[in-house]
Amino acid sequence: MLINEDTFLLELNKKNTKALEYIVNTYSNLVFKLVINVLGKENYESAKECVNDIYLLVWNKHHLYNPQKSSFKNWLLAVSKYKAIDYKRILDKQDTLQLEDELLFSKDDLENEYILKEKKKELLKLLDSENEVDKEIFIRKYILDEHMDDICSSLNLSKGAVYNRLWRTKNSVTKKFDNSYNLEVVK
Amino acid sequence: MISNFDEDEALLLLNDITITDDELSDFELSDIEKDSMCKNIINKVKTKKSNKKKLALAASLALILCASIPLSNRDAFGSMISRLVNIPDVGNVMVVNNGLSLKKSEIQNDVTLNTMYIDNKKIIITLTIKSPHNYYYSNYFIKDEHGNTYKLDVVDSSAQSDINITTYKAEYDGDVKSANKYFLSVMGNKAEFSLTSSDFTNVEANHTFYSATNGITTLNVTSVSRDKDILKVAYYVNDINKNSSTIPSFNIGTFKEVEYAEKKGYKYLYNSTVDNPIFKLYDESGNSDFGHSSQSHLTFENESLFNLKKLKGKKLKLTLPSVVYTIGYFTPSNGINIDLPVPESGKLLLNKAGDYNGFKYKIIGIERLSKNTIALDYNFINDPSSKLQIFDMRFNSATVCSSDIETDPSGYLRSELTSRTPIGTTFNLNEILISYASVGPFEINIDLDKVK
Repeated sequence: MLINEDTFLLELNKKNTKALEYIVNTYSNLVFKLVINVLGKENYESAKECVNDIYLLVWNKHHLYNPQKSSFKNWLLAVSKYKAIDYKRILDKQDTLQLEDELLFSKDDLENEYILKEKKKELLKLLDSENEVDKEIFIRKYILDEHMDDICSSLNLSKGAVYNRLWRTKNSVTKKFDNSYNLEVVK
Repeated sequence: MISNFDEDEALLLLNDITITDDELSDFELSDIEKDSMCKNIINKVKTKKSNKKKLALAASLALILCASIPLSNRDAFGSMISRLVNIPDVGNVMVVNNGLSLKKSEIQNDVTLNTMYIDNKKIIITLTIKSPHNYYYSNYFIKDEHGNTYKLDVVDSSAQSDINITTYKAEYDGDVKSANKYFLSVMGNKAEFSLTSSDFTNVEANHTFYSATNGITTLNVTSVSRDKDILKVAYYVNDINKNSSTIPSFNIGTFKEVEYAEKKGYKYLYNSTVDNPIFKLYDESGNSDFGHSSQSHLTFENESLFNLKKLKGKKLKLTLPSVVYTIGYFTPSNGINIDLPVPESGKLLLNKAGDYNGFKYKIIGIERLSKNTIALDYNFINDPSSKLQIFDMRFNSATVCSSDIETDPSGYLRSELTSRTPIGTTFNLNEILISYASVGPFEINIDLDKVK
């Protein structure tokens, strides 16, 4: 079976390692360039390890790629950024307790997993109805944990515009929630 | 991550963002780094697949006909292993001096301290954490009442991602001072264990209750215990050449995994073969059950669980067809160095015989398929009288990224190797990987009347 850009997704579904080989060969440089940008040149070896983990993650979770929303290359790079930031946290030795202080939902919510699950479902649905740029800002801030400066520069927006849009999304989402959910979004 | 979205939800959301060129560095990987990364990733995935193979359709590799080995049941294996202790959930530990192990597991919030082993040269713990987060790189410190602190590094982990449960094995190697109290803090003080000497028991050297050998490899059973309908067998394998088996487990998976797979309607062909050995426990009527992993199994397992409901009577026989090893690696330093002539087009017969650490092969011919691709036809040669039988052999080269192997209808192996750069008049093979089995069967009689 010839693996090319038309067939590799199908073959990935069949767990054909040739398809993985294809995406590694095609995108490893791009993935590495993104990872090293996040981790810094001083973490060269960790960056290579991170790239390994990214491909293993994609091998196991490629079904979460949505071809109707994104190109595979773009999704792979977004996943790479997500994973690289995770690595960066480990390298910076930030402990998990500090991270949990910044959770999107209040800590008390964790006691009720059902409600939390419902909230997340609701939030995902609500996010889908938001403006695309606003949604991207929200994901970059809360999923990728990017600095405001980086979000501004990658979207070519002023800091004020990004804050406004984030505030708007947050408000819009919060309003749509039932008040009893007591959503604690951003500081 | 910052949100309490789990990984799957985050990966779904990542379909909605656009990565720009500004987010990429100018740094590039070299071709050699790219090649090695590619091989690394593929090998990792293949290893995982091969572990899963036990729960998937068995590969139809040729079975090697082998003579049965007379049963050898012996007591107390002897002084050779007197300091090697097999601790459930910890594995084989070379006890240095007065080793202590935790009497029973301790639970704090979502963390279970399954076991802890401590002597004056090492500390080993296994922990099971219920959390969607990964604690592989977390800091694990053990302090004693005198303020001595030991940092443990995670050396192995096993995740059941569907239920967010991960087991970690962490170790400290170095001097350990004697103490009466130990404190272990996990997940940023969310779970704190305070242990005193009364929580520990002295570790005795294992007695090998049963063993079976083929003269090269020995299967040792160190304990057999029963909990209602589950029979638990602890074991380890040793080898006169001190090689380590490359199959980390002789089990088909946990009872839950097998149940899940069967519910999903997968028609699994459980097959315990020489190239894919799995423990089987037989009764005298021929009923059998495969070995199952314990719930918190790590990569290298040393116990198997059997469902006694599937068996009748008290006289049982534990069997393992072989123990599998790998020699040579896909790295030039451990490989070979063979220059092969490459024809401008078509096929060239070579009939070149070779040997790697006593394992024989013959390169039959080479064929140019394109500017960058050649096909290598070869065979491995087994001595039918030997207990060591090759069942897979791969050749490769540092310049190759893509390779594919298949069995030619004529019976030999055909490997297609694609180089990053055009192949000239010669091709250098400098990597070899051989998988072989130390062939049994290894058989051990178990009398349930003698099992506590």
